[in-house]
Amino acid sequence: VDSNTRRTRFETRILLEREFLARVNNVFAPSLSLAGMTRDAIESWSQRASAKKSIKNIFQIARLLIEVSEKSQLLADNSKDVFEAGHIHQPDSLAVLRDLLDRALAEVRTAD
Amino acid sequence: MRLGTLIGVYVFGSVGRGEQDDRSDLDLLAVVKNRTGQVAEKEVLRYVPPVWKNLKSSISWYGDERMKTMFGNGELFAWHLHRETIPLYDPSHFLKNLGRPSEYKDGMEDIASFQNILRGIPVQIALNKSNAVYEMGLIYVCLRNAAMAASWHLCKFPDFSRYSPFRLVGVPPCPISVEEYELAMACRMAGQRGQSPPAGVGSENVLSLFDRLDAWIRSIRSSIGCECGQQH
Repeated sequence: VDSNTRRTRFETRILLEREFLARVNNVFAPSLSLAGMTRDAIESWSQRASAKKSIKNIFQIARLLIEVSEKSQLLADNSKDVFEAGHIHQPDSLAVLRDLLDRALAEVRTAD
Repeated sequence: MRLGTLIGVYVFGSVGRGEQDDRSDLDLLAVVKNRTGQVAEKEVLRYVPPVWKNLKSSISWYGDERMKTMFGNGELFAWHLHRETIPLYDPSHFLKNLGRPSEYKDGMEDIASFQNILRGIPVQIALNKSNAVYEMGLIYVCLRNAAMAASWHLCKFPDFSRYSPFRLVGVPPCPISVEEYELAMACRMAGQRGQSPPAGVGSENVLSLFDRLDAWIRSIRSSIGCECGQQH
Protein backbone atom coordinates (compact mmCIF):
# COMPACT_ATOMS: atom_id res chain seq x y z
CA VAL A 1 0.00 0.00 0.00
CA ASP A 2 1.67 3.24 -1.05
CA SER A 3 0.81 6.60 0.47
CA ASN A 4 -1.32 7.74 -2.47
CA THR A 5 -3.44 4.59 -2.22
CA ARG A 6 -3.84 5.11 1.52
CA ARG A 7 -5.05 8.68 1.06
CA THR A 8 -7.35 7.74 -1.80
CA ARG A 9 -8.96 4.94 0.21
CA PHE A 10 -9.67 7.30 3.08
CA GLU A 11 -11.24 9.87 0.75
CA THR A 12 -13.30 7.12 -0.95
CA ARG A 13 -14.55 5.92 2.40
CA ILE A 14 -15.71 9.43 3.28
CA LEU A 15 -17.59 9.74 0.00
CA LEU A 16 -19.34 6.46 0.70
CA GLU A 17 -20.27 7.47 4.24
CA ARG A 18 -21.61 10.82 2.99
CA GLU A 19 -23.74 9.12 0.38
CA PHE A 20 -25.45 6.74 2.81
CA LEU A 21 -25.82 9.34 5.55
CA ALA A 22 -27.56 11.65 3.07
CA ARG A 23 -30.02 8.90 2.14
CA VAL A 24 -30.96 8.40 5.78
CA ASN A 25 -30.86 12.02 6.89
CA ASN A 26 -33.01 13.20 3.99
CA VAL A 27 -35.74 11.18 5.66
CA PHE A 28 -34.95 11.55 9.36
CA ALA A 29 -33.13 14.89 9.90
CA PRO A 30 -33.09 17.24 11.66
CA SER A 31 -34.79 15.70 14.69
CA LEU A 32 -33.22 12.26 14.23
CA SER A 33 -29.98 12.85 12.38
CA LEU A 34 -27.57 9.99 11.94
CA ALA A 35 -24.14 11.40 12.80
CA GLY A 36 -21.84 8.71 11.42
CA MET A 37 -21.54 5.30 9.86
CA THR A 38 -19.96 3.27 12.64
CA ARG A 39 -21.83 0.43 14.32
CA ASP A 40 -21.98 2.42 17.58
CA ALA A 41 -23.42 5.49 15.86
CA ILE A 42 -25.99 3.45 13.94
CA GLU A 43 -27.13 1.47 16.98
CA SER A 44 -27.40 4.63 19.07
CA TRP A 45 -29.39 6.32 16.29
CA SER A 46 -31.79 3.39 15.91
CA GLN A 47 -32.46 3.40 19.66
CA ARG A 48 -33.20 7.15 19.58
CA ALA A 49 -35.33 6.80 16.47
CA SER A 50 -37.38 3.90 17.78
CA ALA A 51 -38.00 5.75 21.05
CA LYS A 52 -39.28 8.85 19.25
CA LYS A 53 -41.08 7.46 16.25
CA SER A 54 -43.14 4.39 15.66
CA ILE A 55 -41.32 3.10 12.61
CA LYS A 56 -41.69 -0.58 12.12
CA ASN A 57 -38.64 -1.10 9.93
CA ILE A 58 -36.13 1.04 11.84
CA PHE A 59 -34.10 -1.96 12.92
CA GLN A 60 -34.09 -3.31 9.37
CA ILE A 61 -32.67 0.04 8.23
CA ALA A 62 -30.08 -0.08 11.01
CA ARG A 63 -29.08 -3.61 10.01
CA LEU A 64 -28.54 -2.54 6.40
CA LEU A 65 -26.51 0.47 7.51
CA ILE A 66 -24.30 -1.71 9.70
CA GLU A 67 -23.60 -3.92 6.69
CA VAL A 68 -22.61 -0.84 4.70
CA SER A 69 -20.47 0.29 7.62
CA GLU A 70 -18.58 -3.01 7.68
CA LYS A 71 -17.92 -2.78 3.97
CA SER A 72 -16.77 0.82 4.20
CA GLN A 73 -14.36 -0.15 6.99
CA LEU A 74 -12.82 -2.64 4.60
CA LEU A 75 -11.96 0.28 2.37
CA ALA A 76 -9.60 1.44 5.09
CA ASP A 77 -6.05 0.52 4.24
CA ASN A 78 -5.30 -1.61 7.27
CA SER A 79 -8.21 -4.03 6.97
CA LYS A 80 -7.31 -5.56 3.64
CA ASP A 81 -4.30 -7.33 5.07
CA VAL A 82 -6.20 -8.77 8.00
CA PHE A 83 -8.63 -10.91 6.06
CA GLU A 84 -8.23 -13.82 3.73
CA ALA A 85 -8.80 -12.82 0.11
CA GLY A 86 -12.20 -14.56 0.06
CA HIS A 87 -13.44 -12.49 2.99
CA ILE A 88 -12.95 -9.14 1.25
CA HIS A 89 -16.32 -7.89 0.09
CA GLN A 90 -16.90 -7.10 -3.53
CA PRO A 91 -17.89 -3.53 -4.43
CA ASP A 92 -21.06 -4.60 -6.25
CA SER A 93 -22.52 -5.90 -2.99
CA LEU A 94 -22.92 -2.24 -2.02
CA ALA A 95 -25.34 -1.74 -4.90
CA VAL A 96 -27.60 -4.41 -3.44
CA LEU A 97 -27.52 -2.75 -0.02
CA ARG A 98 -28.19 0.65 -1.59
CA ASP A 99 -31.29 -0.73 -3.28
CA LEU A 100 -32.59 -2.46 -0.14
CA LEU A 101 -32.01 0.68 1.92
CA ASP A 102 -33.83 2.90 -0.57
CA ARG A 103 -36.82 0.57 -0.45
CA ALA A 104 -36.84 0.56 3.36
CA LEU A 105 -36.59 4.36 3.47
CA ALA A 106 -39.40 4.67 0.91
CA GLU A 107 -41.60 2.71 3.33
CA VAL A 108 -40.84 5.25 6.06
CA ARG A 109 -41.72 8.14 3.71
CA THR A 110 -44.99 6.43 2.79
CA ALA A 111 -45.86 5.84 6.44
CA ASP A 112 -45.24 9.54 7.22
CA MET B 1 -15.14 -15.62 10.46
CA ARG B 2 -11.98 -17.73 10.67
CA LEU B 3 -10.01 -17.16 13.85
CA GLY B 4 -6.68 -15.55 13.09
CA THR B 5 -3.32 -15.61 14.81
CA LEU B 6 -2.78 -12.86 17.34
CA ILE B 7 0.74 -11.39 17.34
CA GLY B 8 0.36 -8.42 19.68
CA VAL B 9 -2.03 -6.14 21.57
CA TYR B 10 -1.10 -2.53 22.35
CA VAL B 11 -2.67 0.62 23.79
CA PHE B 12 -2.24 3.83 21.84
CA GLY B 13 -4.08 7.18 21.64
CA SER B 14 -4.66 9.42 24.64
CA VAL B 15 -4.24 6.58 27.16
CA GLY B 16 -1.00 5.45 25.53
CA ARG B 17 0.16 9.06 25.68
CA GLY B 18 -0.70 9.36 29.38
CA GLU B 19 -3.33 12.04 28.65
CA GLN B 20 -6.44 10.14 29.64
CA ASP B 21 -9.47 12.31 30.38
CA ASP B 22 -13.24 11.95 30.45
CA ARG B 23 -13.37 11.96 26.64
CA SER B 24 -10.88 9.11 26.33
CA ASP B 25 -11.71 5.70 25.09
CA LEU B 26 -9.23 2.85 25.05
CA ASP B 27 -7.60 2.64 21.62
CA LEU B 28 -6.27 -0.86 21.13
CA LEU B 29 -4.07 -2.03 18.30
CA ALA B 30 -4.41 -5.73 17.52
CA VAL B 31 -1.79 -7.13 15.16
CA VAL B 32 -2.62 -10.45 13.53
CA LYS B 33 -0.77 -12.64 11.08
CA ASN B 34 -1.54 -11.47 7.56
CA ARG B 35 -4.76 -12.63 5.96
CA THR B 36 -5.71 -15.03 8.73
CA GLY B 37 -8.66 -12.89 9.86
CA GLN B 38 -9.40 -11.32 13.21
CA VAL B 39 -9.48 -13.16 16.52
CA ALA B 40 -12.47 -12.97 18.87
CA GLU B 41 -12.57 -9.55 20.56
CA LYS B 42 -12.53 -11.16 24.00
CA GLU B 43 -9.11 -12.62 23.12
CA VAL B 44 -7.82 -9.06 22.75
CA LEU B 45 -9.74 -7.59 25.69
CA ARG B 46 -8.42 -10.19 28.14
CA TYR B 47 -5.08 -8.37 28.10
CA VAL B 48 -6.59 -5.06 29.24
CA PRO B 49 -5.55 -4.41 32.86
CA PRO B 50 -8.29 -3.67 35.44
CA VAL B 51 -7.40 0.04 35.61
CA TRP B 52 -8.67 0.52 32.03
CA LYS B 53 -11.51 -2.00 32.04
CA ASN B 54 -14.09 0.76 32.58
CA LEU B 55 -13.10 2.57 29.37
CA LYS B 56 -14.92 1.89 26.15
CA SER B 57 -12.51 0.03 23.93
CA SER B 58 -11.97 0.48 20.21
CA ILE B 59 -9.87 -2.12 18.40
CA SER B 60 -7.88 -1.33 15.24
CA TRP B 61 -6.89 -4.50 13.39
CA TYR B 62 -3.67 -4.63 11.40
CA GLY B 63 -1.93 -7.42 9.56
CA ASP B 64 1.76 -7.87 10.38
CA GLU B 65 2.87 -7.19 6.82
CA ARG B 66 0.96 -3.91 6.71
CA MET B 67 2.65 -2.88 9.95
CA LYS B 68 6.08 -3.59 8.48
CA THR B 69 5.22 -1.62 5.35
CA MET B 70 3.89 1.26 7.43
CA PHE B 71 7.13 1.49 9.43
CA GLY B 72 9.19 1.11 6.26
CA ASN B 73 7.24 3.90 4.56
CA GLY B 74 7.65 6.15 7.60
CA GLU B 75 3.90 6.78 7.79
CA LEU B 76 2.74 9.15 10.51
CA PHE B 77 0.70 6.45 12.24
CA ALA B 78 3.87 4.36 12.52
CA TRP B 79 5.51 7.27 14.35
CA HIS B 80 2.47 7.58 16.57
CA LEU B 81 2.80 3.91 17.51
CA HIS B 82 6.57 4.14 17.89
CA ARG B 83 6.33 7.03 20.33
CA GLU B 84 3.13 6.48 22.26
CA THR B 85 2.28 2.81 22.55
CA ILE B 86 2.00 0.58 25.59
CA PRO B 87 2.34 -3.16 24.91
CA LEU B 88 -0.25 -5.36 26.63
CA TYR B 89 0.62 -8.61 24.88
CA ASP B 90 3.73 -8.84 22.76
CA PRO B 91 5.50 -12.18 23.32
CA SER B 92 7.66 -11.87 20.20
CA HIS B 93 8.48 -8.17 20.79
CA PHE B 94 6.95 -7.54 17.40
CA LEU B 95 6.58 -3.78 17.67
CA LYS B 96 9.99 -3.26 19.24
CA ASN B 97 11.60 -5.39 16.54
CA LEU B 98 10.11 -3.14 13.86
CA GLY B 99 12.52 -0.53 15.16
CA ARG B 100 12.40 3.15 14.37
CA PRO B 101 10.13 4.08 11.45
CA SER B 102 11.70 5.65 8.38
CA GLU B 103 11.59 9.42 8.20
CA TYR B 104 8.13 10.86 7.61
CA LYS B 105 8.20 12.43 4.17
CA ASP B 106 4.55 12.66 3.22
CA GLY B 107 3.64 15.70 5.32
CA MET B 108 2.86 18.03 2.45
CA GLU B 109 0.84 15.42 0.57
CA ASP B 110 -1.03 14.31 3.71
CA ILE B 111 -1.95 17.89 4.60
CA ALA B 112 -3.03 18.51 1.02
CA SER B 113 -5.26 15.44 1.19
CA PHE B 114 -6.94 16.63 4.38
CA GLN B 115 -7.35 20.09 2.90
CA ASN B 116 -8.90 18.50 -0.15
CA ILE B 117 -11.46 16.71 2.03
CA LEU B 118 -12.08 19.98 3.88
CA ARG B 119 -12.66 21.80 0.61
CA GLY B 120 -15.36 19.31 -0.29
CA ILE B 121 -17.42 20.38 2.71
CA PRO B 122 -19.16 23.50 1.27
CA VAL B 123 -20.39 21.51 -1.73
CA GLN B 124 -21.56 18.70 0.52
CA ILE B 125 -23.37 21.13 2.79
CA ALA B 126 -25.08 22.70 -0.22
CA LEU B 127 -26.20 19.26 -1.37
CA ASN B 128 -27.11 17.82 2.03
CA LYS B 129 -27.68 20.28 4.84
CA SER B 130 -28.96 17.33 6.86
CA ASN B 131 -25.39 15.95 7.13
CA ALA B 132 -24.16 19.01 9.07
CA VAL B 133 -23.11 17.02 12.15
CA TYR B 134 -21.07 14.60 10.04
CA GLU B 135 -19.40 17.42 8.11
CA MET B 136 -18.63 19.25 11.36
CA GLY B 137 -16.98 16.06 12.60
CA LEU B 138 -14.91 15.92 9.43
CA ILE B 139 -13.61 19.41 10.17
CA TYR B 140 -12.20 18.03 13.42
CA VAL B 141 -10.63 15.05 11.63
CA CYS B 142 -9.06 17.17 8.90
CA LEU B 143 -7.84 19.89 11.23
CA ARG B 144 -6.34 17.54 13.78
CA ASN B 145 -4.67 15.30 11.24
CA ALA B 146 -3.30 18.20 9.22
CA ALA B 147 -1.87 19.66 12.44
CA MET B 148 -0.32 16.33 13.45
CA ALA B 149 1.35 16.09 10.05
CA ALA B 150 2.49 19.72 10.27
CA SER B 151 3.89 19.22 13.78
CA TRP B 152 6.55 16.94 12.31
CA HIS B 153 8.05 19.98 10.59
CA LEU B 154 7.05 22.81 12.91
CA CYS B 155 7.49 21.41 16.43
CA LYS B 156 10.38 19.85 18.30
CA PHE B 157 8.55 16.52 18.43
CA PRO B 158 5.55 15.31 16.42
CA ASP B 159 2.41 16.19 18.37
CA PHE B 160 -0.32 13.55 18.26
CA SER B 161 -2.41 15.10 21.01
CA ARG B 162 -6.06 16.02 20.61
CA TYR B 163 -5.22 19.74 20.72
CA SER B 164 -2.33 19.64 18.24
CA PRO B 165 -3.83 22.46 16.07
CA PHE B 166 -3.30 24.86 18.99
CA ARG B 167 0.31 23.86 19.60
CA LEU B 168 1.95 24.51 16.26
CA VAL B 169 4.97 26.79 16.30
CA GLY B 170 5.93 29.40 13.73
CA VAL B 171 2.51 29.75 12.10
CA PRO B 172 -0.42 32.07 12.91
CA PRO B 173 -2.63 30.83 15.77
CA CYS B 174 -5.43 28.45 14.91
CA PRO B 175 -8.28 30.76 13.79
CA ILE B 176 -11.06 28.96 15.65
CA SER B 177 -11.65 28.89 19.38
CA VAL B 178 -11.09 25.87 21.59
CA GLU B 179 -14.86 25.83 22.18
CA GLU B 180 -15.55 25.65 18.45
CA TYR B 181 -12.93 22.93 18.09
CA GLU B 182 -14.50 20.96 20.93
CA LEU B 183 -17.91 21.27 19.29
CA ALA B 184 -16.44 19.76 16.10
CA MET B 185 -14.82 17.06 18.26
CA ALA B 186 -18.17 16.28 19.89
CA CYS B 187 -19.71 15.89 16.43
CA ARG B 188 -16.98 13.43 15.45
CA MET B 189 -17.45 11.48 18.66
CA ALA B 190 -21.19 11.33 17.99
CA GLY B 191 -20.43 9.92 14.56
CA GLN B 192 -17.83 7.44 15.79
CA ARG B 193 -18.90 6.41 19.26
CA GLY B 194 -22.65 6.89 19.08
CA GLN B 195 -22.90 9.68 21.64
CA SER B 196 -25.87 12.00 21.18
CA PRO B 197 -25.08 14.69 18.60
CA PRO B 198 -24.57 18.18 20.10
CA ALA B 199 -27.62 20.39 19.80
CA GLY B 200 -27.78 23.32 17.43
CA VAL B 201 -25.15 22.31 14.89
CA GLY B 202 -26.23 23.59 11.50
CA SER B 203 -24.79 24.26 8.09
CA GLU B 204 -23.93 27.86 9.02
CA ASN B 205 -21.65 26.65 11.87
CA VAL B 206 -19.86 24.30 9.52
CA LEU B 207 -19.32 26.91 6.81
CA SER B 208 -18.14 29.49 9.33
CA LEU B 209 -15.36 27.18 10.52
CA PHE B 210 -14.46 26.14 7.00
CA ASP B 211 -14.06 29.75 5.86
CA ARG B 212 -11.48 30.43 8.56
CA LEU B 213 -9.60 27.14 8.39
CA ASP B 214 -8.95 26.85 4.69
CA ALA B 215 -6.68 29.91 4.57
CA TRP B 216 -4.93 28.83 7.76
CA ILE B 217 -4.07 25.39 6.44
CA ARG B 218 -2.81 27.04 3.27
CA SER B 219 -0.47 29.14 5.39
CA ILE B 220 0.75 26.00 7.19
CA ARG B 221 1.59 24.40 3.87
CA SER B 222 3.57 27.49 2.90
CA SER B 223 5.50 27.41 6.18
CA ILE B 224 6.32 23.74 5.82
CA GLY B 225 7.64 24.40 2.36
CA CYS B 226 10.41 26.37 4.10
CA GLU B 227 10.94 23.93 6.96
CA CYS B 228 11.32 20.56 5.23
CA GLY B 229 14.23 18.42 6.29
CA GLN B 230 13.88 18.78 10.06
CA GLN B 231 14.82 15.48 11.78
CA HIS B 232 13.28 13.75 14.79
